[in-house]
Amino acid sequence: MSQTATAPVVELRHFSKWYGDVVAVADLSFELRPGVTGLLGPNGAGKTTTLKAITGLLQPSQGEVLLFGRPLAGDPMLYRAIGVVPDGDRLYPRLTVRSYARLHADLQGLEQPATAADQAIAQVGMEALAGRRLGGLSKGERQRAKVAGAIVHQPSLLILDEPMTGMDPGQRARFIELVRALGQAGVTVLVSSHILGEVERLASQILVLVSGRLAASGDFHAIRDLMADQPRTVVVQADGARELAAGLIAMPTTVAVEVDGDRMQARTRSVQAFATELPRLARAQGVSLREVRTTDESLEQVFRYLVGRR
Amino acid sequence: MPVAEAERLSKRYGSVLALRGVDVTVQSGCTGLVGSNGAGKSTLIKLLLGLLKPDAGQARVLGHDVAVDPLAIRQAVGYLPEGQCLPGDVTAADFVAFMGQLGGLPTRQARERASEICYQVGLEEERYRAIGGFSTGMQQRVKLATALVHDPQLLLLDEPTDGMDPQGREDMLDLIKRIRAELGVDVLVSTHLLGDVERVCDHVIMVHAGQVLLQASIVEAAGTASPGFGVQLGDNGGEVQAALATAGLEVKPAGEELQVHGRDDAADLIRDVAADRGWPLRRLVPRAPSLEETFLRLQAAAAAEEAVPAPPEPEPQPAWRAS
Amino acid sequence: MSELPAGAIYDRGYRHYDGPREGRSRRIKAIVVAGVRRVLGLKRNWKTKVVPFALIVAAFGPVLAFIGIRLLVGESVGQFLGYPEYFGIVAVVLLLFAATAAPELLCPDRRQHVLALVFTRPVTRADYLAAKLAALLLVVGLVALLPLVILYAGNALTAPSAATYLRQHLGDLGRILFAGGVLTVFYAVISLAVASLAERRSLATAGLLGSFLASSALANILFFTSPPTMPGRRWLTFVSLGGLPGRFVDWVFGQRFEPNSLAGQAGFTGPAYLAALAVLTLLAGSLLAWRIARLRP
Repeated sequence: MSQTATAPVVELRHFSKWYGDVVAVADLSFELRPGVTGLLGPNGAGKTTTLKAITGLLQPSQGEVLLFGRPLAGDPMLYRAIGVVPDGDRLYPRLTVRSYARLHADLQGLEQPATAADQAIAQVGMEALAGRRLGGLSKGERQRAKVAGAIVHQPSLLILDEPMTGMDPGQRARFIELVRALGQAGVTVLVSSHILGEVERLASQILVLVSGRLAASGDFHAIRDLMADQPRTVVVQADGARELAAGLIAMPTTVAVEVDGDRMQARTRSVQAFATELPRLARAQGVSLREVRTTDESLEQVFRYLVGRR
Repeated sequence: MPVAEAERLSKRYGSVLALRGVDVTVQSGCTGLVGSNGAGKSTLIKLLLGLLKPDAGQARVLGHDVAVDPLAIRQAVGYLPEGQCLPGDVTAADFVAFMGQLGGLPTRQARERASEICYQVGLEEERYRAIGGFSTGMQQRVKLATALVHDPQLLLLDEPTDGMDPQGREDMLDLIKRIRAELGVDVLVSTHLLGDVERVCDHVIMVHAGQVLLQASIVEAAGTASPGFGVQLGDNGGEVQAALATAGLEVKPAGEELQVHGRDDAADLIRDVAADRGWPLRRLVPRAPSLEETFLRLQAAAAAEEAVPAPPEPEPQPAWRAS
Repeated sequence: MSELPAGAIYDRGYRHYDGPREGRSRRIKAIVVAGVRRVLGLKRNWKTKVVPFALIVAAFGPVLAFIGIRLLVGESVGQFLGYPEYFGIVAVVLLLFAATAAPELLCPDRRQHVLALVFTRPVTRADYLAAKLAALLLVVGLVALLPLVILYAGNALTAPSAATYLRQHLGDLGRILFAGGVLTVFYAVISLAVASLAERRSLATAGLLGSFLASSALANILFFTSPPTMPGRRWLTFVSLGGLPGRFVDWVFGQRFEPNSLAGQAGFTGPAYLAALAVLTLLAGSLLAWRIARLRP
């Protein structure tokens, strides 16, 4: 996923939204480019407000929201390029999957709505269920139908709000593949989700909102490395943990070491230095390492740090 | 004594055969129940709770037959249902106390225990506020409190982290582990999130199309598709891979890490390569068990066997390029 | 040397419950109490108290005011309303009360899906129905019986000789209790049955009030505009739902029907109206039982 200096598909410039006295979002500025971006944040952090602003459901109190360089207001043709899978489970229960997709195709003014509808249905893997009424489907299947409706017009921008709600593990795995493939093909996808383990698989970039402000943006590995000012935690499992600990605490970059049986947990200002010394020390002492891991490397940990709980 | 067992359990739900001759045993401990949508999970739960009568076969929960003595089961089971089920205009403390009374606790004890349980699940001053104003996370906690207030022997949790943000999900999963540890109550978690099951459960039961695909401990179920370690050594680049290969190991790049295996003493060999060349060894992790691989594999196999139109697995290839 | 008290850290973790456990009666009682609280708006915000308390004032107000005045001014105030007339007022309040209370008891549980939780406890459908019915009978019975009993007591106390009054009018007390009891059961069962059909409270209330008013209007219109020779015309008197309780009470207290009214012209005697009430109550009760049995948790 190259981040070339192409024009951003979505751009927010100092976007703020308040409702009376309540500031939902304050001074948000970011850009979205082709590929999959994850939108994360605690409940009430302003994710829904931001998504609504991008899809034109609300006007900024301040700042600008630009799609393809143009503001969405007053430019309804831009909607041809956007697909949205909103939160919530309100669909016409008596429509069949096919008619639902066809409805969206018609609304988008496609030239061959029936073909487009069938194609979209195939992409989400619902050909077998195309003739079933939405009301009779499980939640996960309804979600997939919603996605079909959202991609029927082959949008360049796809907004997904908790898209995998109610999907079973098989459906989730396939959905993740679908979204990754879309991102690879150059669609700009913004996915809002609470399941961090899945966002890690889906997205290469993340946006983290906390209390209406942007807490971090970009590649989450890069963000993680930016957390370098914090001592990092490394966990080591080895039979000779205590001996290892004695050697490692001698390093000036090691801040603290805890030992419990064969498990050692160390905090160090330099993972690099620690990780270089560890195997040397282990070999010298004849200690077999069973496991080495930096515990704050997952998205969960990054997220927790950003939200303020270490 | 197993917590619950079912033999040849069948149930028709409308025109659909939701469960077909299911044999299942829920062991003591924390068990995850996973399955495709429409696989019969919720039917199974309702049967175990005695809310439905089986069409064929039998089931016993905590020693009580579901067809004969459903009330006794519901006395000893706490259920956290999926979806909306809380009244909006009652305070959390009042409602949990009410549920306590429905579990047989006298008024005063119900009130005291409700207050205590609310505190335990993390509802502090909020418990004196009307439930209508609660966030999803708080609502899930209220549900958990109603499931615990009458001190059940078995907890049945249906999508306990549904709708909660990442912190809420962690809190809920930690709560479940704590309840297990402190109360020793057995837990059955029904969920779509295999990650949660891996984190919290000791056993797993997988269902698909009304049948049981697998019931085993997590460790057995996950297995190891390929043994060995996930490794981050130096920059994981070509030189590193070559060095490891020279040491006699098989190396496969996989995203962020190298998957290394091939020798019983792989860990020591990796350590030695790192020490010799002065490369930082940031990560050395035994291949993580993955329930997902097992589940998808079994599901596909079951579907193929039955020639049931399984959810088709298209190669997701978008037909267009973004303009 | 005295011993220092040993320190202790108390475990605030999860604990098992070792206290007493009660059975079915506790469960039913819990639902009854919750129901009564809900209907009277107790433990909820002030808006929910407006309607029930206004109705209670409407039912009790006149008699309490009258007794107060009588106590102050003396016998010269003259007779208040007779019992049947006062029942007429009370019946209106009863209808309104039942029409607002019954939906309050059944509809929110369904609408908010609380039944999903309630039935995870050892509560049967029968328990649930019995509890809701008991709650409604309690509050409706309060309004049906108490104002008239107070009137009776007031009459007795303000009479020249209370003992004489009591002895002479003991029959009246019996009639008050009988009539009040029948009306309570009638209104409670009918309104619960209608409430069990709707998920929205406003719909159920409107349905109840509408059917009472409309049926009375319809019966009267049809009767008085149809030719006297039409067969079955006199049975229209039973179509008027609103009229049935009134005619029943008239009969209990030995009042004649108004000659020009529908009932007077129809020619049925009092017991027929009691029978009609009984039949309707049974039908409604069956409907209610069937609806509750069909409730999905």
